[in-house]
Amino acid sequence: MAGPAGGCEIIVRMSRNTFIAVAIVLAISAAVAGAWFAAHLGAPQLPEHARVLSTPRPVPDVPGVDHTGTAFGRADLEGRWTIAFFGFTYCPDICPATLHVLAGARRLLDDLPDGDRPEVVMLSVDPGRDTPERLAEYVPFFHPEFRGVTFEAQHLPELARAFGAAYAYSALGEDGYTVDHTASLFLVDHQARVAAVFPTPHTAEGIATDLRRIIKLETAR
Amino acid sequence: MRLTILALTALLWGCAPDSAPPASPPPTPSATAPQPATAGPAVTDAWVRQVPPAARMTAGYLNVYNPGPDELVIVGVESPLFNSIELHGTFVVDGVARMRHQETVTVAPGETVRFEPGGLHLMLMQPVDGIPSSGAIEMSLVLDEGERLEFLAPVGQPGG
Repeated sequence: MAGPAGGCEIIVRMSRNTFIAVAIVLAISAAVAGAWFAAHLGAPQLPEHARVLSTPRPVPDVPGVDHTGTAFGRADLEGRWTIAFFGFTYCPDICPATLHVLAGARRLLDDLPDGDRPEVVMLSVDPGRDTPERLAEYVPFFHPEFRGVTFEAQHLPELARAFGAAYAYSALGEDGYTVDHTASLFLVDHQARVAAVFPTPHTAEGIATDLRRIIKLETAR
Repeated sequence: MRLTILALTALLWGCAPDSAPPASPPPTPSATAPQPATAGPAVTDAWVRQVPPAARMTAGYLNVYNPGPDELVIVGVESPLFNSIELHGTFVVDGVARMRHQETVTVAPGETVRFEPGGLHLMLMQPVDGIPSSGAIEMSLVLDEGERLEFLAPVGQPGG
């Protein structure tokens, strides 16, 4: 008698086990699918490299002149995204490298609508040598829409402070001096506030991906 | 037992899908210099950054391999197209890029020293007749014992 009863019990237990197993598989599949959809479709993702500031810092309205000789001020930053960085034209290594990478990033973002496509601005930390004419010979070479801006020396500290950037002059070579400067890129939001910082090293793909993510995050906010 | 295996399989299957972010390849110079056929020190992957015509200077990059048993000490760089070339290094400290003159650059035995954007580079100054925007630039590294390593550095942008 023990035989048939035991067999039945086994069948019942097995089907219960199978049911539990199927339930586990289904639950895990659902969780994985949910995570995949969240990551790939709906929910905005955090940028990989850029640091989004919890409290964006307003850019002060200090007067500058761009490479076309046009006045540049805070109003030029309002109502659009701007990638700004500090550099100078007598910089042979890191500034052209940054400009080249930014040109690549900008091309990767060509599909964005006008309102989202970032303007790229090099803020010169070398008022002594970077005249608008000199910037005109240099900055648009990397991308025709890039803007170079020079400021009077007296205004630079206030500007740099707002960005959390540093610069300093050091004697070097026959050309007299070089400028040490923060190599990070800064994302300025539609309210002319520093909203995110991209630390070095920079790649065109990294910048473009993070910028898309930040725009999505800000739009969802 | 079967349940355990099933659950384990499900768990493993659930954990397996893509989680590793795609690795972005580092930018590589579009052109490379021919490698010398000798068994001595080798200069490879040399290139000079293409800069706006108005630029007063540009940067050169290369790899120097030292297969020998002794240190290889680079004390200078020369080119018929530039009156002054210096060894420089960019150092990023706390996010601030600092460019400094290097008197010498030493390549340890069996090692390769890379001159690359954001790091060591040759600073090419005082062009004899403007900075070339294409072609290749003849250069030579001057070593401490007077030996010279000649190489050709194409002008271009990294990553094509």
